[in-house]
Amino acid sequence: MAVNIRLGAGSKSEQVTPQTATRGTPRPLITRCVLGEDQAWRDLHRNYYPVASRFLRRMGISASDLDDACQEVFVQVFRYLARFEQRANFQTWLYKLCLSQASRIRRRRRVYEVLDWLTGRDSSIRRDALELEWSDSMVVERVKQALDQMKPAHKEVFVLFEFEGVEGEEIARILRCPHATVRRRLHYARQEFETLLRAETAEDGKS
Amino acid sequence: MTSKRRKDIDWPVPLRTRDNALGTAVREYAQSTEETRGEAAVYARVAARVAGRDRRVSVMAAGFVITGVLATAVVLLVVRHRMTAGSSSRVTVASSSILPGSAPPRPTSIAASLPSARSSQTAPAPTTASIRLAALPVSLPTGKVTLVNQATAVLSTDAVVSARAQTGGTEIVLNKGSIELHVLPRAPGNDFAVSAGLYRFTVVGTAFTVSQTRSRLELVVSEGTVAVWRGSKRLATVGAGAQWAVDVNPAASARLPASRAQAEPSSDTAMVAPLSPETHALVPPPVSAPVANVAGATAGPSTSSLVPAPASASSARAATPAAPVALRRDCGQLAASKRAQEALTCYQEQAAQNGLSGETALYELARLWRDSFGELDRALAALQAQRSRFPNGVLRTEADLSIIELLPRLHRHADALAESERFLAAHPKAERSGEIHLLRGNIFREVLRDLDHAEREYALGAGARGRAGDDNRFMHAVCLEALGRMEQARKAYEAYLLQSDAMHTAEAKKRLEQLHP
Repeated sequence: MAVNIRLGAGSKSEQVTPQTATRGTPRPLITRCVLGEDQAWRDLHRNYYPVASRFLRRMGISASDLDDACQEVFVQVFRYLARFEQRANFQTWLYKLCLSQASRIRRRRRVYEVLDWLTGRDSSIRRDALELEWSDSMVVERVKQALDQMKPAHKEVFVLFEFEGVEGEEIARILRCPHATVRRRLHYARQEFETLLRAETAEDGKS
Repeated sequence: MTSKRRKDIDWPVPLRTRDNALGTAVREYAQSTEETRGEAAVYARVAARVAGRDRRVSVMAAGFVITGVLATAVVLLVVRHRMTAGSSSRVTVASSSILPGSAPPRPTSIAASLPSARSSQTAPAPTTASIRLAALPVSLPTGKVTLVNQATAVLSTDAVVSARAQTGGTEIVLNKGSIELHVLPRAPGNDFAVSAGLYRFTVVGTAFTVSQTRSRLELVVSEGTVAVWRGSKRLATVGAGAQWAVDVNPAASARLPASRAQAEPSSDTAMVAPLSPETHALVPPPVSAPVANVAGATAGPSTSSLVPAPASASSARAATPAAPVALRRDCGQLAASKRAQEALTCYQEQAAQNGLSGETALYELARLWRDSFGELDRALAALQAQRSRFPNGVLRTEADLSIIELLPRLHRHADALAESERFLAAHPKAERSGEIHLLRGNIFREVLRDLDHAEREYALGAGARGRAGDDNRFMHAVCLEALGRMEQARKAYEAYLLQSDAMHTAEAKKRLEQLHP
């Protein structure tokens, strides 16, 4: 399969040339991708698709939107990898793209909710009905409900730190905010998560 | 300064390392959301998109789509706002809706306020205006108005009335004052309705008067029959010579008035008897007499060509207003706020409707019975009713899956097998086929002790993604071992352990070690 990757004219990625790239062995995967190796693209996709998919799912992207969201993220990766400066970890950049995509989907969902409101349809019913996941255990379901109700800024930090295992300094780089902000958000996110989880558990206990 | 701050920050220990309920929850969720996909097919789609689509085109298309969506939303918002305009809203007269040569409306009188029932009077020398109603609401001028091909109306001087005509009928909204109407005979399905506050009066060729003040809403029927509605509930049918009244408290308009028992007969076909003039200061008009309005002033003569048509059951049904949008949304809100009993009642009412509303209501009803009340039988009945009423509905697949899941919980394993077999035959590539095969395998293995069939089901579901696929692969190996097919079982365990994310690794290793000599 041929993949047409356009290297942006004048971008910093032009510094990577076949001459410079072959000096060291083995060449990094990203460099091979930028040089247009088809197999490298496949490897990149195979290695990082699970990361993006897992992270987007944890960020609350529904099963019905997940494939499209991942596809969109990788389209962005393929388009803009040449401009990726490789100063940061590739996964950090991938997380950034995923957060942007999750944010876009949230906005789109709000638009749909407004349209549903205007047309008199109940979006919550439709969404619930389309996301029948009866294989999930009660605990998983409660965690999912709690995450859905968290503030987006808190959820980003919480998911990255608690589920993805990303370190605080790295999260600060991803979100482009001070370390203290990340620490504060994490603190409040944990409180919010625990409160919501307890509330979910209490409600389930009552019913 | 920055480096100092970095050193000061004490990052906490991740929750997943904690040995408590919170840690367990986080670990379990993290485990359940692990993703292992990255197949060639998905890669091919991404590559095709990168290669085949011009970004500029996509940006332009997105721009057009967003603009279109926003424009549609604004239009819908305006239409909705006008539809739901309450007593506080005013609608201006659209000049294009006035026929050429007709007298213009009198906007000053429309804006008159401080209503009083006893002071409201019809215009002594009404100016006749001729208005052809359109889809957009127009304010009606006070005095005598001819609604072309619809009716003639006489509005009191303090009346604030808007009207519009659209497919399915004509709607008059009385915000204040009094309106007397002589409605022309209408075709079936083309209703004529007057809304006043929470109440609605539907008519089929009749003459009647509706008066609204701050504290009272009155209807006097001189010819034909008028049905009185509140929301989707039919309160009364008022015949010729009778009148209907209700006290309205504007401060709490959402509540029912104190005279509800008198004003709202329980039977749909009940007729409201004429009220005594002493009590209500109203004179019940004779059938053939000119219609009297609230103040008892003279009104336009009754036209002899008007043929009052009885409100038959079919016409009443056709005139039934659709359930308000707010009602439909409320059910979901009630369920979301865990007010299960109220949500149940709400959905039960909504389930009587047709279309997507009725279908989703039945589906939600089943979920409520199942999840909030633990009434599995009732949940099953609701789902079966949904499937029966909406065999090609958009939630048909969800109903099928829910039934398949419910039947084993009701110990109806044979039915579950039959149901799931039908589903798999109809949807061989269903997203959840892995889970269905797992469920069938479990029934064969645990309930029916039929390992051959169980092994077959697990094998069929082994290709599924996620947890169901993992369970299927592991249980397939277990079944092979139980059937004595040791070599196949060994290979199956080995293949299973090659997965990086296998969830039953420890058990599989233990079993594999036992298989080796």
